[in-house]
Amino acid sequence: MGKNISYSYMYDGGFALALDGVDISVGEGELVAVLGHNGCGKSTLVKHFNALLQLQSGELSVAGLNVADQKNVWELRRRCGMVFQNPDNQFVSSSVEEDIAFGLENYETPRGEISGKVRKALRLVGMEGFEKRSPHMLSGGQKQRVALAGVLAMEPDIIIFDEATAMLDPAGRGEILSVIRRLREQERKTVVMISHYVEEAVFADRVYLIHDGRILASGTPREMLTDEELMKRTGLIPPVPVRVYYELKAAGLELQKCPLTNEELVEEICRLN
Amino acid sequence: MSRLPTGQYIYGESPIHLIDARAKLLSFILLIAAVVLASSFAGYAAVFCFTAALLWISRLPLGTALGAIRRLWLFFFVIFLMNAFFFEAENPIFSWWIFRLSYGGIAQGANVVLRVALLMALSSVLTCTTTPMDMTSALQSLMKPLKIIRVPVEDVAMIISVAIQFIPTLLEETDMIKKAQTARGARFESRSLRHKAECVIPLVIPIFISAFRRADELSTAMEARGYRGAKNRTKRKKEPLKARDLAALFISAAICAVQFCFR
Repeated sequence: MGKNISYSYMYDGGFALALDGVDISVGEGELVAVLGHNGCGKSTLVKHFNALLQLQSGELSVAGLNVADQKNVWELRRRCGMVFQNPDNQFVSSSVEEDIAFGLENYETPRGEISGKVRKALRLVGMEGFEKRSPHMLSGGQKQRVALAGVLAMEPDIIIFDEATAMLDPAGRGEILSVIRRLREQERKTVVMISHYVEEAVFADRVYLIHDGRILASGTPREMLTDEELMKRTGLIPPVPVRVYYELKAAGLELQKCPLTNEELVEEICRLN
Repeated sequence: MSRLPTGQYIYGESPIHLIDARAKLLSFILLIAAVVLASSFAGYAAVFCFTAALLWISRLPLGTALGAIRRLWLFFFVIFLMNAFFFEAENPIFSWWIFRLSYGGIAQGANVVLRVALLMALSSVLTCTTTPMDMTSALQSLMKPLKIIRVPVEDVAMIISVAIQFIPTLLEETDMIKKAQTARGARFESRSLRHKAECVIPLVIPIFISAFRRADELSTAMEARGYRGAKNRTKRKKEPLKARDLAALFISAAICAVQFCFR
């Protein structure tokens, strides 16, 4: 999708380079995780996808639309939805139903079609029956699912999760991740999720590692997350099974292959005898 | 999860909930006028009974709907005392130094307190039975004449409704910051006026900063969802006022007129 993107933030009397010649490409229907520690530029990168930030240099096209072209901005934002980090700062109404309709109303969807689309979006995130509730009264995971429904109602092709699980408890995080998986399998949506929790990238198709505004590496989760040296350079801690593998290795016990999930770890350990 | 904040929309299907938001807003203004115009005992009794009836019909949980009044009891109490003791009356029951307690003063105090409480109860009925988006479009259609003097009516209405919707979030935040500052040694509980005043700044500044940050994030989220000014949005169906709405307007206007005539 994108080639050689650079971006600098301006501030009084200077600028800071946030992205330095990033190349990224996401295929249709792919689930791509972008990992990096705080302040590495991953949020800056994805904010280019729906033209929240203007392209300063490089080329980028999303869903066949040239991002640099101002005429495309609104179509881009419909085709490419975004869920943000803080669940509380995304709501415009104190009724779930009205909040989900907000995006549809922005695109002048005929009044008659709106309630059907709202209901469909709520069903996709497993929140039927919450139409009349107030978002304030929901749990964090439920709030994020409502925010996601607000995006889904516009029927986007691409959905970006900008650290959407960072402020949730483990249960809420689990809820969101299972919805993401379902969206990809049943709805064939392209998903880009950025995160600093490596565990969330395990079920992605491809992983990009970002450090200081540059892409350090990209590849399958197995290639990326089991490479201890690479993870250290990115400033990330590998998932628990990988850490166990290296600890065991240091203690003189070598497993046949490096496990990525807990199940694989159990299997490998059982195979030891 | 948090307790239901006061003054927020509470879902319901009572006749009050069903009244068109425009009619409700106009009726509200008429009823406010009625409360302000009331001067006799009978007049107060009438608006009081009417407000109580509204609360009953709307089937709102009383604790939430009247929570704001309960929370401001000290304010009411002080207003009552000020009126009771400082009213210029002919024959005080008792007077000492600058204080003059009189029947006139007590009546005046009760008057003011009742008036403010009624206004708060009425506005709570309005905001608890109307969704923010309905309120927005009602404000929009009522402010339409302002378009002639180039007021961006749609945007103003949107701003008001989003602002209302953020009140509970900010209240929660205030509570949290208060606790955080208490943990660092701020003395909110202290009875000394000086300590209390010193505590205001460490409370207000973080709230301001956070409100700006929230506003920034919200506006980004709104833009990401395709918001480009309130003008190009799906218009709400222009429904003509129904008999129910006209009845509400008529009753409110009648109450207002009666209060005016019996002044």
